[in-house]
Amino acid sequence: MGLLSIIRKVKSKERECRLLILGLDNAGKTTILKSFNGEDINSISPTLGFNIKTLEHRGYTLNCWDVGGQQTIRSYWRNYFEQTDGVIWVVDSADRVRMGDCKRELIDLMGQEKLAGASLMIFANKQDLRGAMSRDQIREVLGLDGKEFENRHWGIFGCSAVTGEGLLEGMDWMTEDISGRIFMLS
Amino acid sequence: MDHVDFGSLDSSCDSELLIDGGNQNMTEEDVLFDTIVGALENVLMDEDFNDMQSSFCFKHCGVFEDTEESKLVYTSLFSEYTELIEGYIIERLTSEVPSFTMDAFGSMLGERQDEITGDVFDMLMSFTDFSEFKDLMLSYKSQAEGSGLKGLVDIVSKENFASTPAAGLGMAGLSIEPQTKGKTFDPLSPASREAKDAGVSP
Repeated sequence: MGLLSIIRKVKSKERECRLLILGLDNAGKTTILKSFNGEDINSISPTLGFNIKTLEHRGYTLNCWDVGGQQTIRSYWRNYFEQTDGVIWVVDSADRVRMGDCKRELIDLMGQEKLAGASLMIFANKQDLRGAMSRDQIREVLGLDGKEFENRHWGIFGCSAVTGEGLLEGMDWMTEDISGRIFMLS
Repeated sequence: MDHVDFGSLDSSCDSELLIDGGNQNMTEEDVLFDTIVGALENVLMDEDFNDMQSSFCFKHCGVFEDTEESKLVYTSLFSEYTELIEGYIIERLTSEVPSFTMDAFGSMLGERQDEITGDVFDMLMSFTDFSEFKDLMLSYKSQAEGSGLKGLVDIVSKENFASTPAAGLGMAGLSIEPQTKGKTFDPLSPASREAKDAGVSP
């Protein structure tokens, strides 16, 4: 580890963690982040780069990195893995056609060494849309009970970024899981 | 550089007095730690450091835009920036403190969490913060564009431009106005303010 990373590690606030929000394009990553933060979500355009937001939640500081999900920029995701405590994987529950892509990208992501210790929270988003797959259907189609996830702390929550439903439960789980893993040890 | 307190780095007394208030029970490692921190402070206050930082910022600030969403390229520039700064600091520390190794200093830092306070460490910490980096680049960009201040720049830069090391360092191929290239605005720049702030002994 270099000088600056050491300084950051030693000096960073105790209850601070870094969350990476990923998923296919149009899954609703930015909308979830803004909705959870109480911001206007009516004019969000596809993210071509990334957004950062620092949220205070249940006494924790969450540094959230929301990176665009279009296929051409997925190769850049790796630049954001460093020091990530938790990954929020956002799924468009109504996009049945791309559920296979979604699974492949998630499994690929979870195979990345730098994310080996990160908690995984999956948002089955767009539950307000007719035709959306349920949380349990998505759990099955992503194969969350399979061997790829057996050593992973993971949780899945149905939500709607538009209505706000389910967001709090997911974020609570994420915060508790990370804090249980990291902060209780020290 | 006109800061005199850290003039003799090889004398542990200087840094001991400043950093620790002259504790009698200092171990050899404490002395080394204080020497390194003193040298670190020197490096960060140094004009060379400021020039290096400024020339990087002027060279790359053009791609930055004041929008909420960040471009992917900012991330690679940010890594380049932190690597540049880190590399520079390590090189200087290695030459100024003969017994310096990053491994040893790293574990000293880990054991001294409560002592890692003050301007030097705040400044180092700021180099690791992406949002501060983005703000810094944006402020360099608006400096480079020199909105409304071109007249002033013109007058001052005639004296300063030719003699600044920054003028020849990494400044090639810039799209900024020539008269803003010099260090004319440095006293106003965040980078330079930080460097000055860091010069104040704890």
